[in-house]
This record gives sequence, C-alpha cells and structure tokens, in this order.
Amino acid sequence: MKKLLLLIVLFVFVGVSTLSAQTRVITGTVTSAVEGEGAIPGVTVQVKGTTIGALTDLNGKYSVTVPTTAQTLVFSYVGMTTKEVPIAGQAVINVTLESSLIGLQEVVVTSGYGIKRAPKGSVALEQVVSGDKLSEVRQVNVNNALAGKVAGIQFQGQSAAKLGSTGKIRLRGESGFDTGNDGVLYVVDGTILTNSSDLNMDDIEDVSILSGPSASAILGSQGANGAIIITTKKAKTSAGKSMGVEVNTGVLASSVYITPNYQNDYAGGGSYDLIKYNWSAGQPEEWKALDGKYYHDYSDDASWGPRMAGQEYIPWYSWYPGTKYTGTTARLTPQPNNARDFYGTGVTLNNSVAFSKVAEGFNIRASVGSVNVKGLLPGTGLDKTNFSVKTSYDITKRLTFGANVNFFNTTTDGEFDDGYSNQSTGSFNQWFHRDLDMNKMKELKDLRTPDGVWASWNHNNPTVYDPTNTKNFYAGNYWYNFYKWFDLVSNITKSARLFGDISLNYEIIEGLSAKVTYRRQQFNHWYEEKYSTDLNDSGTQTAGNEARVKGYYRTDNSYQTRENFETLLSYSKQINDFKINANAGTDFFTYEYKFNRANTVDGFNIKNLYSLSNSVSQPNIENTRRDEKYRAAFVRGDVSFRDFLFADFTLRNDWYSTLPPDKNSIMSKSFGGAFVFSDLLDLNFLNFGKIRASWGEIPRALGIFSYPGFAYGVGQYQWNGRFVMGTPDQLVDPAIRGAVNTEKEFGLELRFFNSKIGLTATYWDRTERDIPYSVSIANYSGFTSKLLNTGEITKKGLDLALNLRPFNRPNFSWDFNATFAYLMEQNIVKIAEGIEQFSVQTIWGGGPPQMVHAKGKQWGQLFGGGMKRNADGVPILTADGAYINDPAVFFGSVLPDFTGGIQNSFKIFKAFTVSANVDYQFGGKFFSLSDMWGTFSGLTARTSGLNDKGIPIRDPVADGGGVHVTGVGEEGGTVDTYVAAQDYYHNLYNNDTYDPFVYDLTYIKLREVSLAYNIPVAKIGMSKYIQGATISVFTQNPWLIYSKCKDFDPSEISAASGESGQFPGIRSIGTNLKISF
Amino acid sequence: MKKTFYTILTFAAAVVLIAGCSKLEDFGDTNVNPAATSSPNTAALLTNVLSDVGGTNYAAHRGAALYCQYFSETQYPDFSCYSLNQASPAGVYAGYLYDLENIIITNTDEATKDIAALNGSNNNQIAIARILKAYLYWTLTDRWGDIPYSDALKGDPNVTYDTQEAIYKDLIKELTESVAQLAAGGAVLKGDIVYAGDVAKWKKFANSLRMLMALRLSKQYPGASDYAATEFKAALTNAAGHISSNADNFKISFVGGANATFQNPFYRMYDGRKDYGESATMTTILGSLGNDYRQSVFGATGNGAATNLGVPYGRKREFIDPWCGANPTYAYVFAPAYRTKESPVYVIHASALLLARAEAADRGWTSETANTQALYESGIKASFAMWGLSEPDAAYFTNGAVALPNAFGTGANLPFIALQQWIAFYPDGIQGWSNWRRTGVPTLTPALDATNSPKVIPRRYVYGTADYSLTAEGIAAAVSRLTGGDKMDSKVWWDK
Repeated sequence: MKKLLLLIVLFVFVGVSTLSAQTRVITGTVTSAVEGEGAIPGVTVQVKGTTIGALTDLNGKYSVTVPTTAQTLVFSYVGMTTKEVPIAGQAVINVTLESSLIGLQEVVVTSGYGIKRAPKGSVALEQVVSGDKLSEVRQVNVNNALAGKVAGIQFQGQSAAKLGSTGKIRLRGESGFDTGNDGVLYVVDGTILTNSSDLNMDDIEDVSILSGPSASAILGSQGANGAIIITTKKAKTSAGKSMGVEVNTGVLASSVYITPNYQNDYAGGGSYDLIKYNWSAGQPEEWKALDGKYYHDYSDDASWGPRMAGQEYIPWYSWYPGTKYTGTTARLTPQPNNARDFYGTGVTLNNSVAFSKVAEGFNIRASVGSVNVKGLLPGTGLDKTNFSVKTSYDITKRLTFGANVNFFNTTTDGEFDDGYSNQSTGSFNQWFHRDLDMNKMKELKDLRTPDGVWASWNHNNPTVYDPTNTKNFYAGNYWYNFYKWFDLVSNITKSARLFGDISLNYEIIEGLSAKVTYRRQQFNHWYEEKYSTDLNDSGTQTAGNEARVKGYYRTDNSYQTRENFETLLSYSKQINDFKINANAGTDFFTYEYKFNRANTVDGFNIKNLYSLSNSVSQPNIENTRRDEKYRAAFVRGDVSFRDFLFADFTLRNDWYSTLPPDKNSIMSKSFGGAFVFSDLLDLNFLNFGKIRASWGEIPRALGIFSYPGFAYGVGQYQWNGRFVMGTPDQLVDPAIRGAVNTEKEFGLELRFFNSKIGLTATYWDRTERDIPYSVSIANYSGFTSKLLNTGEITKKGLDLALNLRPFNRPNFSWDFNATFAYLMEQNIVKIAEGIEQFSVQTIWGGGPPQMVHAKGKQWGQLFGGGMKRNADGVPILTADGAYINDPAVFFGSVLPDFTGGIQNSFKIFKAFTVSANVDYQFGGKFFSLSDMWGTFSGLTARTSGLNDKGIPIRDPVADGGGVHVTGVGEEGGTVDTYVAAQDYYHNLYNNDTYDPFVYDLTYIKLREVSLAYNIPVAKIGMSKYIQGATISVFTQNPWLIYSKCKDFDPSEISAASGESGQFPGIRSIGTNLKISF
Repeated sequence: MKKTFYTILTFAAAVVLIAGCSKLEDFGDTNVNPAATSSPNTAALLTNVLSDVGGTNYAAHRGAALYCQYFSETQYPDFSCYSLNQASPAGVYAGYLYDLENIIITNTDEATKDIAALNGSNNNQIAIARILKAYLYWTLTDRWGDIPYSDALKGDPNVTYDTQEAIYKDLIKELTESVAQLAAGGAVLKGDIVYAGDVAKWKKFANSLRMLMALRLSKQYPGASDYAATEFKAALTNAAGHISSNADNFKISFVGGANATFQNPFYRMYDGRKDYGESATMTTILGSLGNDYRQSVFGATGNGAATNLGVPYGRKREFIDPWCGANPTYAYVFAPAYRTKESPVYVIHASALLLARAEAADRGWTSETANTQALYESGIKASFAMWGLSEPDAAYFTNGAVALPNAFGTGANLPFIALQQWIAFYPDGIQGWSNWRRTGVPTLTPALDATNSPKVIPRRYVYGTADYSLTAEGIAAAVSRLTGGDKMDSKVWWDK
C-alpha cells in the first residue's frame, strides 16, 4: 500500500513539473448537432499540421494554447464528421459537429468511478448504447432494451406475466462454476446497484458495456464478469435555452402469444370411458335429473379421458347446488384456447416528466417517473414511482459541488409462482382437463356450497358423496378454480431504494483535480404473504402439495445499506506529442444487511386472522445479519502519441473482509495498447482503422461468512426443551484465497466510405483459474461440499459489430446495425482433484436432466436419465417396448454458441422513423418439466393423434392403436411393437428416460418494431410552446420467426437449465408520446 | 504554483491518513457470523439424530414398505409398480452419520473432550454414537448392498465402496465393543430423547441390533456353528441382555403439539395428502389368521371407521385412482389414534427380538429350542401389547395359519415365524422388506402392472446418479461385484 501511495504522489509531481508557458489561448465549446446530445467531451482539438492540441472536458469545453502562426483548428471525434475551422484571430471558437454514423460509437465511454474517455483510444471492446437507441421501444427494463444491440450479450428474459422480473444478462458466456447467477455488475453514475430493477429508462443518457477484465479491472473483484455502466442524463443547454422540460407518456397492452401445443381430442380424467351416474338415496335431490347421464373422471387431474366428440356429459359445475346449471348436462367439446383465455390483457402505463435548468456555474435536472402495470395474472400489479435529481454547483471557480439522488418506491402485488404445480401454468401445462371452458370458470368464480366450499373443476367423483361430509365430494382434489385461487392468495412487496452520491471536486490547477465522493445505496423492503383458510376448507389434498393453504401469514423486513467513500485524483495534460490522462483513487466500502422474517405454521387458530401470533404451531422465524467491507486503492492512466498510438493501464488493489485475514489483499490489473493506422495510411476509402490489444486480470473475492466455515447454528425448534444442532455440511479449505480471471483480447475497428460502413471485431480469450467455489463432493465424505480454490475454465470468443448506412438522403436514410457473438469454446478444463463432475441445478430431483459441470466438456451440461442406446444411437427396448434407462446421458450444454441481433432503422421524410430489432441465438439446451408432466398427464399434442397405421394412438393396441415403438432388444435383435399410449408416456417417467423433454434454445425473433413520427411543431404553429413532439407506436415480441421449440419462447426460459412451470410468452403493443418544451 | 503544490500535498496526506488510520487489511470481526458458534454441542447433535430415526428414511420409510406390500399407492402408483428408483444413500452420510461421527471426534479430541464431557462421559457418548451409526448403516446397506464405509466420513470424497460382508462384520464388531464401552456413572447423559441416559437400555438396544443383524445373514450362514449363529448366540447370552419387554423398546415418542418439525411421520403422510393406503396384501393375510385384531391398529378408513378393505397392490393409475374413488372406505395406513402428531414410531421392539429368538431356536442355533413355542407366542403377544391391544386368546395360536406344526430345531417352522415377523415389523418397511428377501415369507405376488423389465419385486435400491458422477471409481468397483449390475433385481450379498 505504501508503495502505491508513493506512486500516486510521484505521478502528481511529474505532471506538475512539466507545466510551461505558451503564447496564445483559444477556448470554446463543442456540441453535437444530434438533438438531445448537447456538449461532447473528449473531442480532439488540434492545430492543423501540428501535434498541438487539446481534448474537450466533460462539459465539451476546451482550451488550447496555440502558436500565433496557427491558421486552422481541426475538431475530430469518432462517429462525427471532422470539421476544420479557420482561427482568423478569434479567441473563442464554438463548434457544432455533425453525426457521421448512427452506431455504437457516437458517445464517450464511461468506466468505473465516472471516468470518461473518447472511444478512439480505447484498448478493449467498450460498447456504448445511447439512451435514444434503448428507448425506441419504450421499455421499463434496461436488460430487455439491450437485447440484440450489443455484441457478446445474451439476454435471458422472463415472461412479462412475471412482473418486476428483469431477466439476466450474460456477457461473453458464463463465469464461474455456478449456474452463472453472479452475473454482471450494474453501475449507475458510479454507484453499484445490486440489480437493474430500479432505473428510470427515460433518465438514461447512455450505457457503456465493459465486456470483461481487460476493460473492467478498475472495478476490481466485483467487475470480474464485466460491467454495465449506466450514465444518467444531466441538464444540458440546447438551442440557447436555459430551461427545458421533457414529458413522456406511454401505454402498453400485453397478451399471451405462445403456449405449449396441447392435444384437443380427449377430455379430463384417467379413464377412456365416460362413467354412468346412478342416483342413490341420500344424494342431493337435484342430482336426480342427472340419473343415467354420463360424466368423466373429475378427481384425476390428467387428460386421459374420453374423446371429445360433442356428446352429452355432466360438466363439473352441474353438481353444485344453487346455479342455473345445477343438474344440467352439456356437450363435451374441445376448448383449444382454454389456457390462453385465462390470462387477461396486461396494461402498462409509463409516464415521466423531466425538468432541466442550466445557469452559469449551476445546473440541475430533476425527473419524476411512474410505471403502473396491471398484470396478466389475476390480481397482479406493479407500481413504481421515482424521482431523481442531478445537480452541480460551482461554489468557487475551482470548487464544484455535485449531488445525485435517486429514489424509487415500488409496490408489487400478486402471486408469481412459476414453479412446478403453480395454480396457473402449473395446471394448464402439467395437470389439467383439456375440456374445461375458462369462461365458465370465470363466471363461476364465486360459486360456493352452503357448507362454505368454493367450487372446483377438480372435485371428487359422485361415488364418494357423503351427506355428513359434503366437503369430501365438493372440494378440489388437487386444484381450485384458478380465479378463486388468485382471490384467496395475496402477496405484497413494498420496497424503497435510495441511491446516489454527493461530491466535491476541486480543480487544483488546470488539468488536475481532486474529488471526494460519498455514495450511499439504501434498500428497505417489506413483504407480506397471505393464504386464506378458505383454501383448506375447499381442498381435499391440496395442503399436501402446498402447506400454506392451511392458512398462512408471512412477513419479511430487510434493511440494507451500501456505502462508499471515494477519493479520486484526475490529471490530464498534453506534453508535446503526448497526451496523458491519469487517475488515482481510493474506495472504502461498507455493506450492511439485516433481515427478519417470520411465518405461521400449520394454519391459524382463528380463521383468516392474519397474524403471526395466530399460528397453530410455533411460528417459523429467521434472523440474519451480514456485513462486508472492502478497501481499495487504484491508479489508471493512458498515454497517447499524436493521437494515433495509445497505451493504457489500470492497477487496483482490494482488501476484502471476506477473505482470510492473512491474505485478504488481491490485485486487479489491465494493460493495453491501440494503434490507429488509418492516420498514417491516408487512404480515401478508409476513414478509420485501428487495431488494439489488451490484457486484464481480476481476482475474485469470497462470499460473506464463507471463511473459515464450521459455523454451527442452533435449530429453532426444540424437542421437549432440548435444542438441536447439525454439523455444517461444507468443508472449507484453510488455504482458500481470492482467484483469478484473466483475459486477453485483440480488436480491429474499421470505418469505410465516409463512415458509411463500420466494423468492429474483437477476439477474446479468457481463463478462469483457481475459482473459489463450493464444489459438491460425494456426501460419503460427511460433507456435501467443499469450498476451495479450484478448477480452470477456458473461454474464447469472437464479438462482431457491423454498422452500415446504405442510404443517407435528406428524405430517406437507412441505418443497419448487426451484432454477432460466437462463443467458440467455454470448456471446463479442470474441476478439482478427483472430481469429474458435479451438479449445480436440478429442475426435478436427481433422475431427470440436471445441470452439471463436467471435466473436459463445455460449461453447463444437461446430464441425467435418458434412453439407453446402442453404439449406433438406436434406443434399447424391453420386450414390451419400454425404453431402458441410461442414468448418465449428456444432452449438451445450456450455453448457446451464437448470439446477436440485427437492428434496422429507416428515416423517411425526416419525420418518420421505422425501427426493427431482431435477435437470435443458436445452440444450447434446456429441460422442460412442464412438458414432462404435461405428457405424463396426456395434455401435450404428442399424446394424441394417429399412429403409422392411421389409427388413434389412444385406441387400444388390440384395435390397432398404440404408439409405434422400434429399437433394438436388450439381448440384441429388434423390437418393433405398439404400446398403449398412456403406458408409453407414463413409462418415459417411470423408467427415467427423459430425451423427449430436452429442447433446443435456438431461436430467431423479431423482438421489437417501432414507428415514430416527429410532429412538425413549426408547421402547425406550435413552436412557440413546444420544441419537439414525437409519437410512436411499437410492439414487443411480434414474431418468433424461427424456433426449434414450438412450445415455449426459448429466449424466456425461467432457469439456467430449464423450466418447471413457467408462464407463457407475452406479446405487447404500445404507444408513446414524447414532448419537449 | 506553490499553492497548488501544497494542495496536492494536503490531498495526498489525507489519503495516507485515511488509509493509515484504519489499517487497510484489518477488518476486525466483520466476517464473523453473529448467529453461529464454532464449537458443536454434542447433546444437541445427538438429539438432532434421534429426532429423525423414526422418520421416513428409517423406521417409517415408505419405499421399502411398498416393496414388502405393507402399503399400496392410491393415486400415483409408480414406486409400487417398480419404477426406477435412483435414490442415493449419500445424504445420510453428510447428515446424521456425520453428526454421530462429530460426537465421536469431539469426545476424543483432547482440545474439546473436556467440554463435551459436560454432556455425559466421553466414553458413553462415543459408544452411543457408534451404536446409532451401526443402526443407520444397517438400514442403508440393507437397501443398497455395498456402500462406502471404511473410508467414509473422513472429509475425503474419494471413497471406496466396502462389501456388504465387510460392513456387516464391522457393524457387529462396533456393537460388541460399544456394549463393553458403555459404563454407568459420570455426568448425566444429555440429549438422549429415547432412553433418557439409561446406559443399561442402550446396552440392550445394541445387543438387540447385533442379534437382528446376525439373523439377517441366515441365507449366507445357515449353520448352527456358522458366523451368524455364533454372533446371535453371543449377543443373546451377553450379560447386559437385550430388548425382551416392551418397556425397553427403542421408540421415538414424537413431540407433536405445536411443534411442526417433530410430528409423527404417519400423521404427516395424511396431512393434506392420501397417497398411500394399507395394502390389500396385509388385510388379506391378517384376515386369514382368524381373529388378528391388529387390523384395528394397522388400518382404518379416512374418518376412522374399522375396515378390512385394503388397497389393491401394484395397479396402474388408470385402475387404482378410479378404484379409490369408487371405494372411499379403503384402509389408510394406521387408524387415526395411532397416527396422531404425537404417536410413537417403534424402531426396535421386544416382539421383533422374541420372534428372532423363536426363529433362531427353531433353526437350532441356540440352546432355546425347547422354548421355541413359548418364544413364538410371547413374540406375538408382545406385538399385540405394543399396540395397546389385549393378548390374543388361545384359539389364535391353534389356528392353522398360526400354530407351529413342525418339530423344532430344523427351521421347518420358518414360514409361520417369518409371517409373524412380517406382521410385527409393520409399518417398518426396511425391516419388513429385508426379512421378506431373507425368508421369502409371506409369498408376495409382484405388482400386476409392474413397469420394470423382469416384473419381479425389487431386491435392492439402485445407486443415485450423483454417485456415478462423484464417486465414479468407487461405484464402478461396487457395480462390478453385483451379479446383473446396478439393477433393482440384483441381489445384495446376504440375499445370495
């Protein structure tokens, strides 16, 4: 540490001592002609024919000292047309630069600690997406907005029915040995957010994507997997006005667009034949009308029932007293859209207002936003309101105070369980009756027996009717009326997040400034869950699946703060042919987390009294306290020579509280260089050509309390006053330490023909070694896992971005942007001594495919029970035609090989803009539990239809039906037989042969289309009041162009290795009006 | 310029000051979990293990109870149709077996043994941990056969799978030594929720386990001077005695009440679900024995009325789900009074030991041959008494299906004695199924709708998929020793 400080001090001295005097000073401001972009930092201002020059500062201001003989100033900036301005004796020269290209590289790159720089000198891939590119289709989630637009990103979305879910971003494949949950880092104006859910999209100026260690070393351990750096808008002068107002108002309507393919031939129940009902004494009088009529098995929640041929039958609701349907029959007809009909239309209102004011030495931008969502599932909704203030104030000429405050308040209502057997998709796709009419379900939502049982489609069969215990018949066997369920369950999450910073920046001398910053992020959260005891009164076996239906109340509180105290010294200087930028700083971090939770157990003493003390059994309590600290010091610098040769370095040292005390110091570093060869070549067609190379290494720290291990907790429940304790299941290697992600990358950037064609290509190669990971070990050791430094993962890939502007005419322009990432390999080279593979995620127990990491194979293999096959891959069958289990089948990796997107944008007659965003991925696998149970239950399309003899597979084998099965026999020879459909599909589960339920992640999707119209405010005489107005209509998920999987949207799989009951894909259409005053 | 220089100095000094004051690398106790301790309490570890010995992985295990047809599945009959059951025994090692190992370590380690002795003498705690380890291992090897043993629980995941023969012999040795290690006196043993620290009863329990384990080897070692008979006799004649009266039963008396974690597993079996019923096999056999009113305990309808209607065994869902719907008075496992939240679960009981002695006597293994009839009758009576029922009348014992028709000393009465063992072990499937594999009694018809390939009753559990990935070498050796490979119908060592 001492050495480092010495270095900082020396650095400063060297800089100061080189100051010397010149003859003439020209100052000015460089702004962008692109609406809303304002001043441009990092523009190169150079005296033509010399190496004398300067860069504009963060406010676009420059000051350049020139020889009196100087004639012309050249203003250049990547993505902007270079402009030459005669000096002609002027002391102030203000310049506006035109955009040369719609693409990724228009704006400055922001790195950690707010350090900005021109992309021309960047040594690693640093992609920037401007706010307006993100909001062509108005989004509430930044991850969603980035999909397809950045090379090397894979966005794993979630169904829009699952409100508040932001999905997940993978940068350059996955990191570490886990399921990849540690993900990327989100940094907003220098503040690290724990997720991306609390952002106002209308406040975002731009997003810089630092893909890995060669770019993100300044962020230390936390940035090991790359970082997404978000810069919010600040107040800007535009068109000579000192004040501005911008209003955005939008609405979005959503509905289901993809559900699994169901069979629509057979009704509910487990038996093929309708059952005749015979009235008997003791049964309700109103049932006499049904005597001699037929019903299908209601209690079995499968659809192996009778063929739906329009025949008369007794529907589930006829048995309940007191409705116009009591004692009536209906026709048994297919209901192909019943699952789809359940979901309503979701509506999202998205409004924001922002005020800006700029004055001499002072600027402020304040915004208020609100997102209000009515979900597609009954009773679900989300309300988010926020306000943000960003301001700076020059206390003196050299001392500037800055403050940045963001407050988000969110309330989420409703139940969003998308796991196995949840009360919407968990039924529709897993256990359901294909003959159910969802509109009838909705109509009869409030149907209740005199004994207080809410009516269910899944009640029992009349044979169990007992007049002394009518619940036994009327109550749901496993399921409720879905609409009633969402009435009787209520979950509320309220959260308040406050984040931001205050800072003081002191300009010591020109080019040298010191800044101190205090940052804080505070997150308070309250959660409540209520399950009505009515559920218990209306179900016979439901409490066995979900004990909460006995009546349940849970509440959580959490308090979380993250504080940073930072210092930063910044220095920039031009010395002859060299330009130097340097920063040195420290960052002290403190994290505090407190969490309390309690819930009732075994129901309530007093019905529907939601209180912890009303618990039948001793309530469950949880009490968590966690603390973490790190302290960091860093230096970074870059030097350029004549603006075509660049060198760059970063060193950061962290001391972590979570690491073993005697070796808690870890160092991150990166080095790189770039060479702009086009400046030397002077080729006409080549505007810009650059090669770059960089290397970075980031060690990773450990999780809180993982060292030294062997922490014994006390069980909260006692056995007659005797407390219990279990031995911790994790071994910790006493030599555990931080470990290393190393990355090298090489890039090429080219722009041709007046920058109408731009190409960026980056090859990267990353190695993760000695990962501190808790590896599953054979439990026979006495422990389930061991935390140790282990393993080696090697990754290589190619990130490509292509920008074209094929047309650029006043009345028509076309911009084309394509990204392509190829994950050439991500191999598990080594796990640990003696460990060949281990499991990281199971969707359903140990038999079905689970996600494992296996030595010598690609990261994230789906592994588990499949069909045993001979050397030629032909399944081996029993004599009865059942597949034989092979417990160790590798189905492939969960990672796609190729990901990317294509954006087309057309400007027509200046006023219209049409944009379309396509994204895609190829390769990768997932396991569908819904499909497994849906097939077991006879719901999926494959369980119906005809066999190769043209006879329904559900017909008895003796009548020519059955599934045709061929393969080789256990003792050789061939097996060629027909198996009864229900046996065939049940056996897939019984024999642990899950091949049919493994899907491909490949897809091509038209993700977004928008049409925007700039209202000509001047023409309609409104320019006095309005500066600009844009109205747009857009759609999300309009078209899944290609997908190998026809049942789910592969871009929205709920878990890394598959899904267990996920919600359907959602399509939205919306409109937005943006007005600036 | 000078001013600037001083400003920089001041700033640099401030940085040094901040850095220096708080010693960058010193974080005090930031990383210490305030809710945990670093040293275990051996009494709490013991309670933790005992709290689950009556649970669904041991004395109330459901899978084996389906294989020996104590229970039938009512709506999802996959297990009882012999679907592939890829469970792994490994979880028990990281859980309770290591807790027991930890008791031994903490009572042995010089650094911790004195503190541990506050919970009872080091020797007694160690001996009890060894006895319970033997019981847990026994329930595992009977299901899977060869399992990791000699180098398990040592923190090293590279384990070998020991042969069942080696495991059995070592378990018997452990039990023998434990009986000798247990001594009265010292601090009161804490955490013992079964025998409340009564050392004499633990000795009886250990001897009982040794007798039952020895008897399990009767196929391998049938002779009166073979290993099994020798060990059986040695345990029988050990001065510390064995469980011969219900007062000494090893049972778990659940706390129940307002404590949701420690409730009787059969209460929980029906707490919201009805996946199981008493098997028709059991009701039929009990019905064939004359007046065997243990049925009033073993099963009743959902609302508690008496019934003899067992659930048909091993039928596919297409059949059984509608059957249960049409026959709502089928028998649930246990009458409600025997599956309350607080009902006890019997792990090892007098009836099992008396019937074991009757069998050994009938085989001519012991010097009790003359007593065979008396042992047999008292074994049956102990079973009735354990369930709180009055003794069966004399007619019960003369019923043709109960009375022992053959001369004693040759093992010819085994079909009768083993049938009573099968009934007495109800609902403990691990015992019931193991005993059936050993004796072939009762004659069980395999599931009518079996889905496994040879359609026979499984004779072992197959290893889990994780075993293949985490102990590849060890398991390969174990599988190579199995005739027929890692299949459900391959036989464990003692099953021959």
